[in-house]
Amino acid sequence: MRGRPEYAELHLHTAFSFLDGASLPEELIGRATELGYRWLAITDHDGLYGAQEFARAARAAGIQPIMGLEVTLTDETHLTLLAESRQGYANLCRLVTAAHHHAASGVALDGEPGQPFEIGNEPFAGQAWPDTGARRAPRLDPALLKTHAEGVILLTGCRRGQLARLVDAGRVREAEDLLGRYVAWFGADNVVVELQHNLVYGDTARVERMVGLAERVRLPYAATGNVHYHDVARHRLQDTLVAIRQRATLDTSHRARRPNSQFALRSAEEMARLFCRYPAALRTTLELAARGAGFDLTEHLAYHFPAYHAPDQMTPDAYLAKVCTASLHERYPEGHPNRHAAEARLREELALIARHELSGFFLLHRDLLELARQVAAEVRAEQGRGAAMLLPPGRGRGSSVGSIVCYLIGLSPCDPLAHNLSLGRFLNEDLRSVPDIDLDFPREIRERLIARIHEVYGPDRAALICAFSTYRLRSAVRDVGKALGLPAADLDRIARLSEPRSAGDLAGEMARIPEYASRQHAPPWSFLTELSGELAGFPRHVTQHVGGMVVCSSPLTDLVPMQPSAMEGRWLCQWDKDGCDDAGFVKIDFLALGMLSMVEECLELVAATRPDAPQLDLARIDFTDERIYDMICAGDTLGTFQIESRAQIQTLLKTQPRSLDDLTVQVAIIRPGPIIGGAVSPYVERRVNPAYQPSYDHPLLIPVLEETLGVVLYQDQVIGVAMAMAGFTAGQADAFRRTISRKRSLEAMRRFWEQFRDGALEKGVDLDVAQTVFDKLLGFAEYGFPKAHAASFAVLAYQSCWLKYHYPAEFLCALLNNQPMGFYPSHVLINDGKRRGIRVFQPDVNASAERCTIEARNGVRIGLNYVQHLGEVAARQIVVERTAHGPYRSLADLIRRVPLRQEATDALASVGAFDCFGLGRREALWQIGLFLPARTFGTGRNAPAERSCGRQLALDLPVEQDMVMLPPMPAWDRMAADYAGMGLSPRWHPFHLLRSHLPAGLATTGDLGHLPDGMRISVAGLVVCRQRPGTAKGITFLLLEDEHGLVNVVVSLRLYEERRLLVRGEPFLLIDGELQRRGNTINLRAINLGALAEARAHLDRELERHESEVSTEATEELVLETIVPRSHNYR
Amino acid sequence: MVTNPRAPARAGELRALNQPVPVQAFGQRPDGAPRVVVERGRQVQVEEVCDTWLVEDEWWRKPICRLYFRLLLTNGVIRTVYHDLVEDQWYAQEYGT
Repeated sequence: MRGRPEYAELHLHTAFSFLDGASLPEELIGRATELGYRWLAITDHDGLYGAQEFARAARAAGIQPIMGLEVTLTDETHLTLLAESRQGYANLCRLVTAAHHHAASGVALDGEPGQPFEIGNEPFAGQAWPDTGARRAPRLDPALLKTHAEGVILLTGCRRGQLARLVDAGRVREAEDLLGRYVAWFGADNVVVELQHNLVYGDTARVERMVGLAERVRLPYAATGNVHYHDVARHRLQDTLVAIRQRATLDTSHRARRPNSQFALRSAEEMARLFCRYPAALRTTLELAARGAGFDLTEHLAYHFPAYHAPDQMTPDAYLAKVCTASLHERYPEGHPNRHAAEARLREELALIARHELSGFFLLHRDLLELARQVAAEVRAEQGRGAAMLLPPGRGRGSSVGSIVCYLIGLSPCDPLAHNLSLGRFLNEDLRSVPDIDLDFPREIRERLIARIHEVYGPDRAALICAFSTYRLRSAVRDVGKALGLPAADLDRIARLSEPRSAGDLAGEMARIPEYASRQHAPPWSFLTELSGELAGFPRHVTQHVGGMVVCSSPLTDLVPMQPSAMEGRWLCQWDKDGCDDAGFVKIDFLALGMLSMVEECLELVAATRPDAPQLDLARIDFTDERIYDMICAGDTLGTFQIESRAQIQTLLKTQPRSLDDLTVQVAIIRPGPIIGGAVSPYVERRVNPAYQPSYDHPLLIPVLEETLGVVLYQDQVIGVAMAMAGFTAGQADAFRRTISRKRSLEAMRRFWEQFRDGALEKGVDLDVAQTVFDKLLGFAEYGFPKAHAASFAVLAYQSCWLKYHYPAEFLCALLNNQPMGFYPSHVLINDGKRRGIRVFQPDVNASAERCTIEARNGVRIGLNYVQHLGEVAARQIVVERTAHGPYRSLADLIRRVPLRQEATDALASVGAFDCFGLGRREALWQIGLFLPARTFGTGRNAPAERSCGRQLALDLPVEQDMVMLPPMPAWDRMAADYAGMGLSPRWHPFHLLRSHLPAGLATTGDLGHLPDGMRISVAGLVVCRQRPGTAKGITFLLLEDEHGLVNVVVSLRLYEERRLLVRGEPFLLIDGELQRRGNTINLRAINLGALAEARAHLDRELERHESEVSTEATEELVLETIVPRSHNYR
Repeated sequence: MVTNPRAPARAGELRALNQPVPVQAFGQRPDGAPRVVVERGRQVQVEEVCDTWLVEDEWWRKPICRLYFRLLLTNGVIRTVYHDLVEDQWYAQEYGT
């Protein structure tokens, strides 16, 4: 009796073969487990993006993962490569890196001998790393295979392989020669003829010919499945992905799609049936799998953090101690109340650091900060920012802020003793991986610093961590719908009106949109929901992680492939944060923090407007200024750091923070973790009622949770609770925290629960109490800050408030210049500024700079960069020319002196930037038509840019006779043009102009402070923010703005469902509701809501009457809908 | 250069080539191929299945799912037939060559 056939799949694509593989690694592993696979290779296209995830999932399922890939050669053919040793794996990484390098450099590498493309310890020797801006698809020069063959098994590839093509074409001799070349490069033992049979026409004949060929040249052959999905049902998704990749529809991508559904993972029995004439084809897979098992990514990767060479032959431990001690004497001089505590804490930390051999790690960060200091000095000097010189180049965030060593070597802005910050979350006895030190920098300093690190460590030893952009509901709707050929307008509407959720929720979302609810059950709409659901969470493409970098003592290209980033001069490694973490890479986080850039600019503006005042040092401002806390307690924090959001302002009014410690809580409390964990109410209650006694689930928790009134508010407390209640060590508790805060493995969670339960029972805790506390910890895991991080952010929050209070105009100006950042769009910020008495001026070609500027001490002039369609270059040219040769005398003068495109001049005219010439906006637009008529005459498509910009006035023909007097634009149209052209209106709020058209009896936001609780009122306003947080049980919050201020509107789930389209899409709303007054907070609970239809109709009629009375000229096509502010965020 | 025929294109006169022809086939082998095919009114045994392939397409519109067999019949004729898995019908259609 014959035994059960065995087979190892050696050609398998996961979803990390972007827009080709139609199953996630875990789905493939799950199916492989069902089918009884013992070995499984991953061979994604031109990358190892999913290798870590695949290897770990396979290991967990008891399957041996084999590392490989399918490379695309410069002749567009494919080859399958498998690693059988660490050297082989390193060669795969180098080859992929070379393929991407080739794509970036655009060098035509045709594989000709004599043009070696070296990749080694000095990779790409003699060749500059290319400009990474221009990317192309990765293509590997086949000549490189020869020098990177060690430890690599070559399979001849799929039907797109060069061998298959030659065999199909009957070019047998050339096929034999090709195999001869492969054997010469890789050795006869390492070249295998790859046979694929997917029930595609021609497969049978090809397999037969290739077996014959292999036997003639005495090479082994092996069957592979060319797997692209785990189950045949996924072939539809695979077809769709191909269409998306081709930017085509399913109808028009026939030639690119696969001919059937036979590219699923098949059982060994099925493969045995397909290859029944060639039993050796299956046997060979087992032999190759056994060899491929010689390299295990989960065990054999050898990463080493760069060794630190301390001066004077000191050990890193001794040097770090010396540096810290010297700093301690400065920061905690003799007599300082925390001197002894600081010394004890430093001793403790240094001992831990020495024990984990991390001194070099800390010293390296110190060096990086020093590098950042140099970069900051250069950047600030270039930008003439003397006032920012006192600022550190960056500052720490995250748990590292709790470390005194970080404080002493300058990485952290907070004294951990003064802020009572614990260390366990950052450093502990059982540390299992290198701790994270996250550093925030102003944007422009970070950009330069990343490039400098590449220079210092070498481009092959430092790389940015990548991130995978994954499919969510909107992206899935747009891509899948387009592939299905559905109307773009419908797709846009569905995407816009749906909650930004997982793509798996699309059916539910469509059910809520009346016109699509009935359609979704029939094709093609049913395919949209089905395929979008399958696509949920799939990686779509590679992007750059927000700030993570890895550095290595040896070439990173031996450990992970590297590829160019979309930004020039940057290289990404092909693993994301989790992948790098799994690989044990030491990650350094350089994050760009817009608020730091904004603060730098604000200081500069203050110094410029007050040249005689002493230089500001934000580290030494009064952090107990009552006036600042009064402002914070009044919720007047728009534009400030971290405490400006709608939810934060609501909470500030209740919690009334009066110190940095209070602000630390404030920063941490409005997070999903504390909200779900129920931390908000007890804290607020205690602030309101000092006699309030918090309750604790168990007395063991009192020491840990006392400061936060019995609830878990900081990440550190997860550790504290696990230690106090279940007797975890610090390391175990931190491992538990890590597990619950990233992708949760059910198995790991079960193990932690058993450990937690047993530990708690041993301490006499009841089982149900242990379960309750454990569940609360899981609830918290959604997202929360470590206390040290919150403390660091609280300092910056206070500093931003301090600037807003003392220098409101400079604050607003800097804020406008550093958009996008924070919670509010520019138009909301300037309305807030105007309510504080700041004057905001229209852009003006004779007064505006490129960026916004301070004018008349308490005014802000909108910069030319706010004018859409003008462009950075044109804005600069206008300013440079004006500075060099004086103000522009007229529109004609401007057009003569600056080569502007008509689109740019029209944009300037539309927003009133030519008002300085005494021209109305319509007149300016008319005159542009006179001055730039020749723009399209005599200028072909390839005409030089300056000609196409048109300088018609060379002949100086008279145009006076063509001048006309045009009535000025109505105010509404000017405001609408401002919004359309700049996203804001310096002069008008829409409700300044709408108010007289609104129904009588409406309350304004200015009235709300005087109206009683429970009163039924109606308020109209512009929706500046819509939020539907997952933690709010279906409640939607709208922030409504009128000419007097803002009001928070609470929309119930029932009303939301009834008026969903209005809530999600209407820019102006009329809310009928009940005023709710709770302490200092005022909300409007919406009972009904509607569009401003009547007011709009009235206004439209008036505009029409105005136009017919004053002019026959066509009206501007600007109606209310154009004033859809860019504030329609759904955060 | 091709001379302009001066005649308008006549879409009505376009005709599909190699249209599948319904055929009778009986008995199913484990691989899905028939055991007998009717040729000109006579039942002919299948001697060998030379090749098999599957075509699936247009699932979003009017699904096509055809399992093709290249058959060597006992009368020495090679015939390509397919089993339309949507309609459960058999057709003959030459393919590829």
